[in-house]
Amino acid sequence: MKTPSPVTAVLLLVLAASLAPAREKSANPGPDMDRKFDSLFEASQKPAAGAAAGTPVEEVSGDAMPSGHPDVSGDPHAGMGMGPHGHGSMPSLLPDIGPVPAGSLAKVGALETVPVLHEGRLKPMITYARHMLLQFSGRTSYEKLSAIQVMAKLLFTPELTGDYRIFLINNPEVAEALGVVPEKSRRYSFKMLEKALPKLQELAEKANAVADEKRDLVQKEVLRVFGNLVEFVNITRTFSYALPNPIYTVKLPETRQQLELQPDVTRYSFWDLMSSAQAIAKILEGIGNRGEAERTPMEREIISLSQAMYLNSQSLHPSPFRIFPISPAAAAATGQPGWVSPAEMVAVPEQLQAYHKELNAWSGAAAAYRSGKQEEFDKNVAEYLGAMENRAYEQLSETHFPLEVLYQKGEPYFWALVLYWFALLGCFSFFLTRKRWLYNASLGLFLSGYAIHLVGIISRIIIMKRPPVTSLYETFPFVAAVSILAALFIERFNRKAIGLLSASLLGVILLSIANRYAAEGDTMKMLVAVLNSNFWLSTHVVCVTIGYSACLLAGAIGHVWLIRALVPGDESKPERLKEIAKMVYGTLCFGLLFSFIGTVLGGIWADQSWGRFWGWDPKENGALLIVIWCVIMLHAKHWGYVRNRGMALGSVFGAIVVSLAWFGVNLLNVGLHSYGFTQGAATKLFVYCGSELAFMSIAAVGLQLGWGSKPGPGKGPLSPERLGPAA
Amino acid sequence: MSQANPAKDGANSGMGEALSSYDTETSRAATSRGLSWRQKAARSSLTKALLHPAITLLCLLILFALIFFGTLYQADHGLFEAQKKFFGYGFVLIGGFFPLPAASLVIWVLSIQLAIMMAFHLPWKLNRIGLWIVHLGIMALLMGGFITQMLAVESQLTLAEGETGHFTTAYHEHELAFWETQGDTNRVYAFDESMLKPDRELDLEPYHARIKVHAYYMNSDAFTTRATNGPKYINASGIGMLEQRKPEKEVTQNAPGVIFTLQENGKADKEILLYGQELQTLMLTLDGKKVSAQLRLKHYPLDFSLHLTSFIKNVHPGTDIPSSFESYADLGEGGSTRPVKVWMNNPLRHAGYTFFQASYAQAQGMANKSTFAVVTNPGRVMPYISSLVVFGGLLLHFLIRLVPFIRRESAK
Repeated sequence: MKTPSPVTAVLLLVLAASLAPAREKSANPGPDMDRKFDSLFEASQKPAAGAAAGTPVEEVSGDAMPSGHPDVSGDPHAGMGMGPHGHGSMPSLLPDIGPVPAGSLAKVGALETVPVLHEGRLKPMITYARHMLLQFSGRTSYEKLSAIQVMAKLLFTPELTGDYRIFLINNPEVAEALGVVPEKSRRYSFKMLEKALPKLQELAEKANAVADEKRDLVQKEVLRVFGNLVEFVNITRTFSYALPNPIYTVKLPETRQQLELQPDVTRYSFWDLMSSAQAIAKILEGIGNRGEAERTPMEREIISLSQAMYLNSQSLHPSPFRIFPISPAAAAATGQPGWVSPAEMVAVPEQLQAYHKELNAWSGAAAAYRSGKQEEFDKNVAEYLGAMENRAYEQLSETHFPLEVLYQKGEPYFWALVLYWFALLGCFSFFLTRKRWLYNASLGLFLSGYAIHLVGIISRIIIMKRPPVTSLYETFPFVAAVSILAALFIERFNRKAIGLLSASLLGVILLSIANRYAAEGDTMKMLVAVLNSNFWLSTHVVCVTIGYSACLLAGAIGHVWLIRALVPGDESKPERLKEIAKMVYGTLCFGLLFSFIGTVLGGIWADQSWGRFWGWDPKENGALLIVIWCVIMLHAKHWGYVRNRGMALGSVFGAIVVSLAWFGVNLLNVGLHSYGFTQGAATKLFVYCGSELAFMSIAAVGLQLGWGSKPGPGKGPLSPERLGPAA
Repeated sequence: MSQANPAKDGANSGMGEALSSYDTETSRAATSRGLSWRQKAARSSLTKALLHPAITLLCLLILFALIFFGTLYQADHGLFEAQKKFFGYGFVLIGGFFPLPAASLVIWVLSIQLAIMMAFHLPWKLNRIGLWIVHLGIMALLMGGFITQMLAVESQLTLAEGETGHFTTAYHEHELAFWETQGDTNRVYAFDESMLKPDRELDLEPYHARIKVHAYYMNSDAFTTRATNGPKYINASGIGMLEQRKPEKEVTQNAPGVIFTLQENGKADKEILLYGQELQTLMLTLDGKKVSAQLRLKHYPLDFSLHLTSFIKNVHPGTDIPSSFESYADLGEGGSTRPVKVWMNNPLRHAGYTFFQASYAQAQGMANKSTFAVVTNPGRVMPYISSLVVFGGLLLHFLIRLVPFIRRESAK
């Protein structure tokens, strides 16, 4: 490739700009349509920022020529004013590439470690790709494609992605409102939704006008879907500078020859032409002031091309995808955030030379991807990485990309969950059959799951350089880990599988919630100023969540006690029940200790940041409720108001209190702690509390009636009739 | 401990008995010869009645319910109302019909029980040392809360870059202030809003005048028209009438108003109306002096000054998520100044005052503004000390119980 000198690049664009007015008419063949999309994308900025997890979408103006095609185009499609994916009268928002053959590559592992600045954090592209796909579709893969493969398709062959059903619309009402036939899978393709975009925009504008906490589920969903579509379009346009475009169709062979373009194709990319900037500039200079009539056909074609380039360079879409590090000085001068997207890079002609190697590498990678050349693709990405690392070595030295890639690909919480499930099944089988090998097997499975679980937590601590709990999401794996540790401690002294059972139960429930919750967006976000304090995060938050863990574990063991008490057993049953009650009691003491210190540390943090120790904030009240409940239980037990049965029932109620304090208060939408986004969680929480209260009442009544107090008809598996009232 | 103390019921044994009964111990000690004053007091029926565990448990349960329902109430009615309703000394109707005593009442009952329990009841034994420490700490925590409630003052100070603050402003408490300007200082004479009760007469001593309050509204609407046949009030902004309104959910959004008669010897009475949201101050001539009058947010003068030099907001790169807020200021006292920095989680402490970075305002073409929350609280250290004490006590107590348990279990 030839290297355009910065001077010629600037000169070219300046010359083109001076000739621009004459071209404007033909550059915008469908002015009405363009205006429509301009407004669509301008309006999309706010909802995109709000709904799509705060992605900054700055200056998202409509593509000045979404369907622009030069007069000189010899392309048969050109007259239609739309890309190959146009729908009737409306041009598609996917980049117009035209009928250029597109291949693909299955191995895009080279992309995994490409650093992307997204939402304030430098992350490997695999994190970004998985987060994006999860946010779009609620899954981290699409059919047989992994997230990074989908990302590669969006970036390099965007024209083929319109049919991917990757947009999750949870609420069928939303689909209906958009005039889209609701799908059973609840997932839709861009093409299906594109028709409804004007309607969606209208709904999103309305929803956006409503205050955040007053939006209903449908409005939230509308904003989420709209933000996702905007983000999708922006991603597909990331590398539009490197992809063929109908506006760069070169019809005349002599032009191709003059500009030293690849001879066997007619459609080029912005970057292809930019590589011939010198030649173009020379011809433009040669034209000078000669009038329209005196120009040769080749000169006319080159003028059209250069003007298209100028307009194009000014209107390339910024994407959320910031992959080019720029120097702090340049960042300060341009007000850019240190890293920029390809479009932002291309928009500043002075940078074309300085970043030529990187831009060229991506262009080469795109071409290699589209033509299915694996080696060339890998080589180009490696070339980019090499050049980029030179610039950003300082920032990169603070990252842990290999570990993060491993974390993203390994999905430790998922595998821990799988192992916990097996351990839980093993536990149940052990209770039914009393086969020792089953116990050993489930313990083994469980411990391996726990090891993976801990690896997950530790990896996050290292990657984010933060204490383990900084967001509602992170509380789930952490609470699970702590309560499991406590349960294993109990198991250590009492090898009756009670601790193991409670531990796998809690592991399964909490990690399932975590996995569900992860689908709501990036779980590795940057923190707002007041939370940006590692000292308090690692003391207050950790203590409070340890308190949660202990009280939840006590609740879980309480369940075990109640169920065992309700089920007839042999003569060893009273002794067993007594042991389990002791575990409940000990765990509650532990819970009180940490809930108390955690709550107080929270007060001290509040005193340090806001000047008041206690402010009756709902989250503070929630923590206090846990403390008071533990105090009530311990004193009631001490004075003999409750015994084992009361302890068991009380600990189940304590678990309800924890669930309310943990995320129930986030549903109130007030106070300083309302950071947890808990859409639709209210119903689940109510169902949980309701069923626990029902369980407590049934157990209390049943025990009062003497269920399970008579010894059963012998050992062995339970039969349904043995569960009936025996009194 | 199970060895020392026969279990009360079959359920209490081993670790399950960590907080075992001290009732039993006290009564056992009492049977031995030579009762101490403590033991005698503990045996009195009055003490027993006052320390009845049912009272304690009931109080704790009520407290639990109050916090739960108070939190729900807060979501709909705002914190101020919720605190007033649930934290006072009266009774709360839960759900509109179920009466419960309000939190302050309940906490006092618990505190008194705690004091009596510590004075007479809790046995002096080495293995009880953890419990002693815990309850002492709780006592200190409650006392700290009381001191804070009584004596802490919270106010705020908003400065634009280049401005100097000499006083802080209350969040919502108002005062009726009169002042005359002498040079570059104001001599202020002010009445707290709590003094502005209907028909109350207040002396405006420096000007040999009296004020007779007619009405004070915590929240009100102002009208430029006046009620037919109503008196014509003196007001700088042309307000002719006030109408009372229900207080707002956010107490800081209230617009109070006051109507009073100003009586001066040998002069005609003046009917005056002042509104909390007025921008103009009312100019009066009292005792031959030019005096300004205003119903304003309460001012708290500082013995020093704070000059804001700059305010900086940092964001995480490429986002709008703020990563820090920082105020740079000059603290002036007794003719000398020193530069100070106030930022999130790092307040400025000076002369009993603590300045926290609380808020900010940035707008195109305007100087940045920074708002500090300002607190004076003589009970500030109490929670720090007491919570440390309670934590230490709990830890000690549980260890005293846990270690023998583990030893026993390991031996099995």
